[in-house]
Amino acid sequence: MLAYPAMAKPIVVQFRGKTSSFEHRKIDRGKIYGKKIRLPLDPDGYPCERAQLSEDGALVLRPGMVSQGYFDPAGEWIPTGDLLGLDPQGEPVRLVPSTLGVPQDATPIEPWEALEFQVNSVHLLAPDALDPELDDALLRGTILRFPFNYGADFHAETALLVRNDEGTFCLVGVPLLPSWAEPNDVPVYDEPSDLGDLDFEMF
Amino acid sequence: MYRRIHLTNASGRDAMVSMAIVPHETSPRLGLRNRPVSFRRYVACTQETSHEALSRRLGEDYSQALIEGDPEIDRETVGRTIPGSVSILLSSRGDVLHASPAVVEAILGPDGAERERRQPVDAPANVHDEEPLRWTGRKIPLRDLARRFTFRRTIQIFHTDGLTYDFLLATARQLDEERCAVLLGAGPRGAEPLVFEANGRPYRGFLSGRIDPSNPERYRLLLHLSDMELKPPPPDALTPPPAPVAPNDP
Repeated sequence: MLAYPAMAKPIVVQFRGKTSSFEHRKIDRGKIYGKKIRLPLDPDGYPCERAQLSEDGALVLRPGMVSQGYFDPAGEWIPTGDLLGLDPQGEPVRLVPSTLGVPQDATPIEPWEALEFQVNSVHLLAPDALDPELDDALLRGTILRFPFNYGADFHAETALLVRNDEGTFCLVGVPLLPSWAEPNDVPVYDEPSDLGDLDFEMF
Repeated sequence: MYRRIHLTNASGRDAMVSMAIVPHETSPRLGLRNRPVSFRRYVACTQETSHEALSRRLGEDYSQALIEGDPEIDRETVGRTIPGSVSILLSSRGDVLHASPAVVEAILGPDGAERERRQPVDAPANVHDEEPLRWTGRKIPLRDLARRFTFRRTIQIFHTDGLTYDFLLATARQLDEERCAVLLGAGPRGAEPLVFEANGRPYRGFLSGRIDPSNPERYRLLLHLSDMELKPPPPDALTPPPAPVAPNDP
Protein backbone atom coordinates (compact mmCIF):
# COMPACT_ATOMS: atom_id res chain seq x y z
CA MET A 1 0.00 0.00 0.00
CA LEU A 2 1.11 3.56 -0.61
CA ALA A 3 1.50 5.86 2.39
CA TYR A 4 -1.85 7.54 1.73
CA PRO A 5 -4.64 6.65 -0.67
CA ALA A 6 -4.00 7.40 -4.33
CA MET A 7 -6.79 9.49 -5.84
CA ALA A 8 -6.47 8.68 -9.53
CA LYS A 9 -7.80 5.57 -11.25
CA PRO A 10 -5.36 2.65 -11.20
CA ILE A 11 -2.78 1.77 -13.80
CA VAL A 12 -4.01 -1.45 -15.37
CA VAL A 13 -1.82 -3.61 -17.60
CA GLN A 14 -2.45 -6.79 -19.47
CA PHE A 15 0.45 -9.22 -19.71
CA ARG A 16 0.04 -12.51 -21.59
CA GLY A 17 -3.73 -12.13 -21.40
CA LYS A 18 -3.85 -11.57 -17.62
CA THR A 19 -4.74 -8.26 -16.04
CA SER A 20 -2.91 -6.60 -13.16
CA SER A 21 -3.78 -3.34 -11.45
CA PHE A 22 -1.64 -0.86 -9.50
CA GLU A 23 -2.24 2.13 -7.28
CA HIS A 24 0.23 4.84 -8.21
CA ARG A 25 1.78 7.90 -6.64
CA LYS A 26 3.93 10.37 -8.55
CA ILE A 27 7.36 10.83 -7.02
CA ASP A 28 10.28 13.07 -7.87
CA ARG A 29 13.83 13.77 -6.84
CA GLY A 30 12.83 16.29 -4.17
CA LYS A 31 10.60 13.73 -2.45
CA ILE A 32 13.49 11.27 -2.20
CA TYR A 33 16.48 13.46 -1.39
CA GLY A 34 14.99 16.85 -0.51
CA LYS A 35 16.31 19.82 -2.45
CA LYS A 36 18.28 23.04 -2.36
CA ILE A 37 16.75 26.31 -3.43
CA ARG A 38 18.41 29.70 -3.72
CA LEU A 39 16.40 32.51 -2.20
CA PRO A 40 17.13 36.11 -3.18
CA LEU A 41 16.51 38.40 -0.17
CA ASP A 42 15.47 42.04 -0.25
CA PRO A 43 17.28 44.67 1.86
CA ASP A 44 14.91 43.88 4.77
CA GLY A 45 15.94 40.22 4.71
CA TYR A 46 12.68 38.88 3.29
CA PRO A 47 12.50 36.65 0.19
CA CYS A 48 12.03 38.52 -3.08
CA GLU A 49 9.20 37.78 -5.45
CA ARG A 50 10.04 36.92 -9.04
CA ALA A 51 8.21 38.96 -11.67
CA GLN A 52 8.49 39.97 -15.34
CA LEU A 53 9.08 43.39 -16.85
CA SER A 54 7.53 43.85 -20.29
CA GLU A 55 9.98 44.55 -23.13
CA ASP A 56 8.94 48.21 -23.32
CA GLY A 57 9.50 48.61 -19.58
CA ALA A 58 5.92 49.78 -19.07
CA LEU A 59 4.48 46.87 -17.12
CA VAL A 60 5.56 44.92 -14.09
CA LEU A 61 3.90 41.53 -14.38
CA ARG A 62 3.60 39.65 -11.13
CA PRO A 63 2.63 35.96 -11.00
CA GLY A 64 -1.01 35.57 -12.04
CA MET A 65 -1.07 38.71 -14.21
CA VAL A 66 -0.15 36.90 -17.42
CA SER A 67 -2.24 34.44 -19.31
CA GLN A 68 -1.67 32.64 -22.59
CA GLY A 69 -3.68 31.20 -25.41
CA TYR A 70 -4.14 30.69 -29.11
CA PHE A 71 -5.35 33.50 -31.39
CA ASP A 72 -6.33 33.68 -35.05
CA PRO A 73 -4.78 36.28 -37.40
CA ALA A 74 -7.65 38.70 -36.63
CA GLY A 75 -6.71 38.58 -32.94
CA GLU A 76 -9.69 36.47 -31.88
CA TRP A 77 -9.01 34.15 -28.96
CA ILE A 78 -9.59 30.47 -29.77
CA PRO A 79 -11.26 28.55 -26.92
CA THR A 80 -9.10 25.64 -25.82
CA GLY A 81 -11.90 23.17 -26.54
CA ASP A 82 -11.89 24.19 -30.22
CA LEU A 83 -8.21 23.39 -30.70
CA LEU A 84 -7.21 20.22 -32.51
CA GLY A 85 -4.01 18.22 -32.48
CA LEU A 86 -2.40 18.49 -35.92
CA ASP A 87 0.17 16.21 -37.52
CA PRO A 88 3.13 17.63 -39.50
CA GLN A 89 0.90 17.75 -42.63
CA GLY A 90 -1.69 19.82 -40.78
CA GLU A 91 -4.21 16.99 -40.59
CA PRO A 92 -6.12 16.50 -37.32
CA VAL A 93 -5.07 13.60 -35.12
CA ARG A 94 -7.55 11.75 -32.97
CA LEU A 95 -8.04 12.51 -29.30
CA VAL A 96 -6.38 9.85 -27.15
CA PRO A 97 -8.45 8.97 -24.07
CA SER A 98 -6.92 8.50 -20.64
CA THR A 99 -5.45 5.05 -20.15
CA LEU A 100 -6.00 5.04 -16.38
CA GLY A 101 -8.35 2.27 -15.31
CA VAL A 102 -8.25 0.76 -18.79
CA PRO A 103 -6.16 -2.40 -19.40
CA GLN A 104 -3.13 -1.67 -21.61
CA ASP A 105 -1.11 -4.34 -23.37
CA ALA A 106 2.34 -4.56 -21.78
CA THR A 107 5.12 -6.02 -23.91
CA PRO A 108 8.67 -6.94 -22.87
CA ILE A 109 11.44 -4.79 -24.34
CA GLU A 110 15.22 -4.96 -24.49
CA PRO A 111 17.18 -2.96 -21.91
CA TRP A 112 18.66 -0.67 -24.57
CA GLU A 113 15.13 0.30 -25.60
CA ALA A 114 14.40 1.30 -22.01
CA LEU A 115 17.50 3.49 -22.06
CA GLU A 116 16.65 5.17 -25.37
CA PHE A 117 13.78 6.81 -23.56
CA GLN A 118 13.29 10.21 -21.93
CA VAL A 119 11.58 9.90 -18.57
CA ASN A 120 9.19 12.75 -17.82
CA SER A 121 7.62 11.44 -14.63
CA VAL A 122 8.00 8.55 -12.23
CA HIS A 123 5.20 6.78 -10.39
CA LEU A 124 5.67 4.53 -7.41
CA LEU A 125 3.32 1.56 -7.73
CA ALA A 126 1.53 -0.61 -5.20
CA PRO A 127 -0.26 -3.68 -6.61
CA ASP A 128 -4.03 -3.94 -6.15
CA ALA A 129 -4.21 -7.17 -8.10
CA LEU A 130 -1.01 -8.70 -9.43
CA ASP A 131 -1.01 -11.65 -11.81
CA PRO A 132 1.64 -14.20 -10.69
CA GLU A 133 3.08 -14.42 -14.20
CA LEU A 134 3.66 -10.66 -14.31
CA ASP A 135 5.03 -10.77 -10.78
CA ASP A 136 7.51 -13.44 -11.85
CA ALA A 137 8.54 -11.57 -15.01
CA LEU A 138 9.18 -8.36 -13.06
CA LEU A 139 11.11 -10.29 -10.45
CA ARG A 140 13.38 -11.68 -13.18
CA GLY A 141 14.14 -8.15 -14.38
CA THR A 142 11.82 -7.99 -17.38
CA ILE A 143 11.10 -4.45 -18.51
CA LEU A 144 7.63 -3.92 -19.94
CA ARG A 145 6.35 -1.14 -22.16
CA PHE A 146 2.75 0.02 -22.51
CA PRO A 147 0.82 3.10 -23.71
CA PHE A 148 0.09 5.69 -21.03
CA ASN A 149 -2.05 8.81 -21.02
CA TYR A 150 -2.91 10.42 -17.71
CA GLY A 151 -5.67 12.62 -19.16
CA ALA A 152 -7.30 12.71 -22.59
CA ASP A 153 -5.19 14.67 -25.08
CA PHE A 154 -3.72 14.36 -28.54
CA HIS A 155 -0.64 12.36 -27.68
CA ALA A 156 -0.29 9.17 -25.66
CA GLU A 157 2.99 8.87 -23.84
CA THR A 158 4.82 5.61 -23.29
CA ALA A 159 5.33 3.95 -19.92
CA LEU A 160 7.87 1.43 -18.71
CA LEU A 161 7.08 -0.97 -15.90
CA VAL A 162 10.12 -2.02 -13.86
CA ARG A 163 10.89 -3.56 -10.52
CA ASN A 164 14.03 -3.49 -8.41
CA ASP A 165 14.86 -4.30 -4.78
CA GLU A 166 13.27 -1.02 -3.69
CA GLY A 167 9.87 -1.35 -5.33
CA THR A 168 7.84 -1.34 -8.52
CA PHE A 169 7.85 1.76 -10.70
CA CYS A 170 6.15 3.15 -13.77
CA LEU A 171 8.37 5.50 -15.81
CA VAL A 172 6.35 7.75 -18.09
CA GLY A 173 8.00 9.50 -21.02
CA VAL A 174 8.74 9.49 -24.70
CA PRO A 175 11.07 7.38 -26.85
CA LEU A 176 14.31 9.03 -27.94
CA LEU A 177 15.15 9.09 -31.63
CA PRO A 178 18.92 8.66 -31.85
CA SER A 179 20.56 8.03 -35.20
CA TRP A 180 23.62 5.98 -36.11
CA ALA A 181 26.98 7.67 -36.54
CA GLU A 182 28.92 6.58 -39.62
CA PRO A 183 32.56 6.95 -40.72
CA ASN A 184 32.10 10.11 -42.76
CA ASP A 185 28.82 11.27 -41.40
CA VAL A 186 27.26 12.24 -38.10
CA PRO A 187 23.55 12.82 -37.54
CA VAL A 188 22.37 16.40 -37.78
CA TYR A 189 19.81 17.20 -35.12
CA ASP A 190 17.50 20.15 -35.40
CA GLU A 191 18.52 21.94 -32.24
CA PRO A 192 20.76 24.76 -31.09
CA SER A 193 24.40 23.82 -31.55
CA ASP A 194 25.67 25.23 -28.27
CA LEU A 195 24.28 23.72 -25.08
CA GLY A 196 25.85 26.62 -23.22
CA ASP A 197 23.13 28.88 -24.62
CA LEU A 198 20.44 26.71 -23.14
CA ASP A 199 19.04 26.15 -19.74
CA PHE A 200 20.09 22.55 -19.28
CA GLU A 201 17.42 22.11 -16.62
CA MET A 202 14.77 22.62 -19.29
CA PHE A 203 15.47 19.41 -21.18
CA MET B 1 29.02 22.39 -34.84
CA TYR B 2 27.93 20.56 -31.75
CA ARG B 3 29.38 21.29 -28.33
CA ARG B 4 32.67 19.52 -27.62
CA ILE B 5 33.25 16.97 -24.90
CA HIS B 6 36.52 15.47 -23.71
CA LEU B 7 36.47 11.73 -22.90
CA THR B 8 38.81 8.92 -21.97
CA ASN B 9 38.33 5.30 -22.97
CA ALA B 10 39.03 2.05 -21.13
CA SER B 11 42.78 2.39 -21.81
CA GLY B 12 42.91 5.91 -20.41
CA ARG B 13 43.45 7.47 -23.87
CA ASP B 14 41.55 10.72 -24.30
CA ALA B 15 39.92 12.45 -27.25
CA MET B 16 37.93 15.58 -27.92
CA VAL B 17 34.60 14.66 -29.54
CA SER B 18 31.14 16.19 -30.04
CA MET B 19 27.90 15.86 -28.16
CA ALA B 20 24.26 16.77 -28.71
CA ILE B 21 20.97 16.27 -26.92
CA VAL B 22 19.15 13.32 -28.51
CA PRO B 23 15.83 14.35 -30.08
CA HIS B 24 12.67 12.65 -28.87
CA GLU B 25 9.21 11.90 -30.15
CA THR B 26 7.14 15.10 -30.10
CA SER B 27 3.47 15.82 -29.45
CA PRO B 28 1.22 17.05 -32.25
CA ARG B 29 1.00 20.84 -32.42
CA LEU B 30 -2.28 22.46 -31.45
CA GLY B 31 -4.22 24.45 -34.01
CA LEU B 32 -7.27 24.62 -36.25
CA ARG B 33 -7.81 22.85 -39.53
CA ASN B 34 -7.18 25.18 -42.49
CA ARG B 35 -6.89 28.25 -40.27
CA PRO B 36 -3.58 29.54 -38.89
CA VAL B 37 -3.36 30.27 -35.20
CA SER B 38 -0.58 31.66 -33.08
CA PHE B 39 0.30 31.18 -29.44
CA ARG B 40 0.56 34.38 -27.40
CA ARG B 41 1.09 35.52 -23.84
CA TYR B 42 -1.10 38.41 -22.85
CA VAL B 43 -1.83 40.63 -19.87
CA ALA B 44 -4.70 39.15 -17.83
CA CYS B 45 -4.79 41.79 -15.09
CA THR B 46 -2.68 44.60 -13.71
CA GLN B 47 -1.45 45.54 -10.26
CA GLU B 48 -4.25 48.15 -10.06
CA THR B 49 -6.93 45.50 -10.70
CA SER B 50 -5.56 42.83 -8.38
CA HIS B 51 -7.58 41.67 -5.38
CA GLU B 52 -5.29 43.58 -3.01
CA ALA B 53 -5.62 46.84 -4.96
CA LEU B 54 -9.40 46.49 -5.32
CA SER B 55 -9.76 45.75 -1.58
CA ARG B 56 -7.75 48.85 -0.75
CA ARG B 57 -9.75 51.01 -3.15
CA LEU B 58 -13.28 49.61 -2.68
CA GLY B 59 -13.17 47.84 0.67
CA GLU B 60 -13.07 44.14 1.47
CA ASP B 61 -16.59 43.45 0.18
CA TYR B 62 -16.44 44.85 -3.33
CA SER B 63 -18.71 42.30 -5.03
CA GLN B 64 -21.43 44.89 -5.65
CA ALA B 65 -18.88 47.14 -7.32
CA LEU B 66 -18.02 44.28 -9.70
CA ILE B 67 -21.72 43.95 -10.61
CA GLU B 68 -22.29 47.65 -11.11
CA GLY B 69 -19.13 48.33 -13.08
CA ASP B 70 -15.99 46.60 -14.22
CA PRO B 71 -13.35 47.91 -11.82
CA GLU B 72 -11.41 44.66 -12.19
CA ILE B 73 -10.75 45.28 -15.88
CA ASP B 74 -8.14 47.74 -17.08
CA ARG B 75 -9.39 48.23 -20.64
CA GLU B 76 -6.20 49.95 -21.76
CA THR B 77 -3.93 47.11 -20.73
CA VAL B 78 -5.74 43.80 -20.32
CA GLY B 79 -5.41 41.66 -23.42
CA ARG B 80 -2.21 43.33 -24.58
CA THR B 81 0.17 40.82 -26.14
CA ILE B 82 3.48 40.41 -24.33
CA PRO B 83 6.02 39.83 -27.09
CA GLY B 84 8.90 39.59 -24.67
CA SER B 85 9.81 40.24 -21.07
CA VAL B 86 12.75 40.09 -18.71
CA SER B 87 12.85 38.55 -15.26
CA ILE B 88 13.06 40.95 -12.35
CA LEU B 89 12.85 40.69 -8.58
CA LEU B 90 10.42 42.53 -6.36
CA SER B 91 11.05 43.28 -2.73
CA SER B 92 8.64 42.01 -0.10
CA ARG B 93 6.97 45.44 -0.35
CA GLY B 94 6.40 44.95 -4.08
CA ASP B 95 9.07 47.42 -5.27
CA VAL B 96 11.35 46.59 -8.19
CA LEU B 97 14.81 45.69 -6.91
CA HIS B 98 17.49 47.81 -8.62
CA ALA B 99 20.51 46.19 -6.95
CA SER B 100 21.65 42.59 -6.75
CA PRO B 101 19.97 40.88 -3.81
CA ALA B 102 21.68 38.89 -1.10
CA VAL B 103 21.15 35.19 -1.78
CA VAL B 104 20.82 32.37 0.74
CA GLU B 105 20.50 28.68 0.10
CA ALA B 106 17.61 26.87 1.78
CA ILE B 107 17.86 23.12 2.30
CA LEU B 108 14.47 21.40 2.16
CA GLY B 109 13.92 17.87 3.40
CA PRO B 110 11.97 15.24 1.43
CA ASP B 111 8.85 16.35 3.32
CA GLY B 112 9.33 19.88 1.93
CA ALA B 113 10.13 21.39 5.33
CA GLU B 114 13.08 23.76 5.54
CA ARG B 115 16.00 22.19 7.44
CA GLU B 116 18.73 24.75 7.10
CA ARG B 117 19.75 28.06 5.59
CA ARG B 118 23.31 28.80 4.59
CA GLN B 119 25.45 30.91 2.34
CA PRO B 120 25.47 29.42 -1.16
CA VAL B 121 28.77 28.13 -2.48
CA ASP B 122 29.32 28.45 -6.22
CA ALA B 123 30.05 25.14 -7.92
CA PRO B 124 31.92 25.42 -11.22
CA ALA B 125 31.12 23.24 -14.23
CA ASN B 126 33.41 20.24 -14.55
CA VAL B 127 32.46 19.09 -18.05
CA HIS B 128 34.80 21.16 -20.21
CA ASP B 129 37.74 20.98 -22.61
CA GLU B 130 40.58 20.90 -20.07
CA GLU B 131 39.70 17.89 -17.96
CA PRO B 132 38.34 14.76 -19.66
CA LEU B 133 35.45 12.73 -18.33
CA ARG B 134 37.11 9.59 -17.07
CA TRP B 135 36.21 5.97 -17.65
CA THR B 136 35.85 4.80 -14.05
CA GLY B 137 35.71 1.09 -14.90
CA ARG B 138 32.52 0.74 -12.86
CA LYS B 139 30.22 -1.15 -15.20
CA ILE B 140 26.58 -1.95 -14.76
CA PRO B 141 24.51 -4.32 -16.93
CA LEU B 142 22.00 -2.40 -19.06
CA ARG B 143 19.07 -4.30 -17.55
CA ASP B 144 20.10 -3.23 -14.04
CA LEU B 145 20.82 0.32 -15.14
CA ALA B 146 17.33 0.76 -16.61
CA ARG B 147 15.77 -0.55 -13.38
CA ARG B 148 17.88 1.39 -10.87
CA PHE B 149 17.99 4.95 -12.21
CA THR B 150 15.74 7.39 -14.01
CA PHE B 151 17.18 9.23 -16.99
CA ARG B 152 15.66 12.56 -17.95
CA ARG B 153 18.49 13.62 -20.22
CA THR B 154 20.53 11.71 -22.75
CA ILE B 155 23.45 13.02 -24.76
CA GLN B 156 24.74 11.42 -27.93
CA ILE B 157 28.49 11.37 -28.52
CA PHE B 158 29.85 11.78 -32.06
CA HIS B 159 33.24 11.64 -33.73
CA THR B 160 34.77 14.74 -35.25
CA ASP B 161 37.23 13.10 -37.66
CA GLY B 162 38.58 9.71 -38.74
CA LEU B 163 40.73 9.21 -35.65
CA THR B 164 37.93 9.94 -33.21
CA TYR B 165 35.62 7.73 -35.28
CA ASP B 166 37.93 4.77 -34.59
CA PHE B 167 38.16 5.78 -30.93
CA LEU B 168 34.38 5.94 -30.44
CA LEU B 169 33.58 2.92 -32.61
CA ALA B 170 35.90 0.77 -30.48
CA THR B 171 34.34 2.14 -27.29
CA ALA B 172 30.82 1.45 -28.56
CA ARG B 173 31.81 -2.04 -29.68
CA GLN B 174 33.29 -2.89 -26.28
CA LEU B 175 30.19 -1.72 -24.39
CA ASP B 176 27.85 -3.42 -26.87
CA GLU B 177 29.66 -6.75 -26.53
CA GLU B 178 29.62 -6.53 -22.73
CA ARG B 179 25.92 -5.45 -22.70
CA CYS B 180 26.73 -2.90 -20.03
CA ALA B 181 27.25 0.80 -19.46
CA VAL B 182 30.23 2.38 -17.76
CA LEU B 183 30.13 5.17 -15.19
CA LEU B 184 31.99 8.29 -16.34
CA GLY B 185 33.37 10.60 -13.69
CA ALA B 186 34.52 14.20 -13.77
CA GLY B 187 37.37 15.95 -12.01
CA PRO B 188 41.08 15.08 -11.85
CA ARG B 189 40.44 11.57 -10.52
CA GLY B 190 37.11 10.97 -12.20
CA ALA B 191 35.33 10.68 -8.87
CA GLU B 192 32.94 13.61 -9.23
CA PRO B 193 29.45 13.66 -10.75
CA LEU B 194 29.06 15.59 -14.00
CA VAL B 195 28.17 19.30 -13.77
CA PHE B 196 27.57 20.85 -17.19
CA GLU B 197 27.05 24.47 -16.10
CA ALA B 198 28.21 26.57 -13.19
CA ASN B 199 25.91 25.83 -10.24
CA GLY B 200 24.16 23.26 -12.42
CA ARG B 201 22.67 20.04 -11.20
CA PRO B 202 25.18 17.19 -10.69
CA TYR B 203 24.44 14.08 -12.73
CA ARG B 204 25.74 10.55 -12.73
CA GLY B 205 26.73 9.83 -16.33
CA PHE B 206 26.58 6.29 -17.74
CA LEU B 207 27.97 5.66 -21.21
CA SER B 208 26.32 2.93 -23.29
CA GLY B 209 27.25 1.84 -26.77
CA ARG B 210 25.68 -0.09 -29.63
CA ILE B 211 26.79 -1.23 -33.03
CA ASP B 212 24.21 -1.32 -35.80
CA PRO B 213 23.39 -5.03 -36.28
CA SER B 214 23.01 -4.46 -40.03
CA ASN B 215 26.18 -2.41 -40.48
CA PRO B 216 29.14 -2.89 -38.12
CA GLU B 217 30.62 0.44 -39.21
CA ARG B 218 27.80 2.39 -37.60
CA TYR B 219 27.76 3.06 -33.87
CA ARG B 220 25.67 4.82 -31.26
CA LEU B 221 27.21 6.11 -28.02
CA LEU B 222 24.81 7.56 -25.50
CA LEU B 223 25.63 9.28 -22.24
CA HIS B 224 22.65 8.73 -19.91
CA LEU B 225 22.38 11.37 -17.19
CA SER B 226 20.65 10.60 -13.94
CA ASP B 227 19.98 12.61 -10.83
CA MET B 228 17.57 10.14 -9.25
CA GLU B 229 17.58 6.52 -8.21
CA LEU B 230 14.43 4.48 -8.47
CA LYS B 231 13.43 4.09 -4.85
CA PRO B 232 10.48 5.09 -2.72
CA PRO B 233 10.60 8.38 -0.84
CA PRO B 234 10.73 8.23 2.96
CA PRO B 235 7.17 7.81 4.34
CA ASP B 236 6.95 11.41 5.60
CA ALA B 237 7.50 12.66 2.02
CA LEU B 238 4.32 10.91 0.86
CA THR B 239 2.08 13.24 2.80
CA PRO B 240 0.33 16.31 1.43
CA PRO B 241 2.78 19.17 0.74
CA PRO B 242 3.57 21.54 3.63
CA ALA B 243 3.05 25.28 3.73
CA PRO B 244 5.57 27.37 1.75
CA VAL B 245 8.91 28.35 3.28
CA ALA B 246 8.49 31.12 5.84
CA PRO B 247 10.85 34.07 5.54
CA ASN B 248 13.62 34.58 8.07
CA ASP B 249 13.05 37.37 10.49
CA PRO B 250 15.45 40.14 9.54
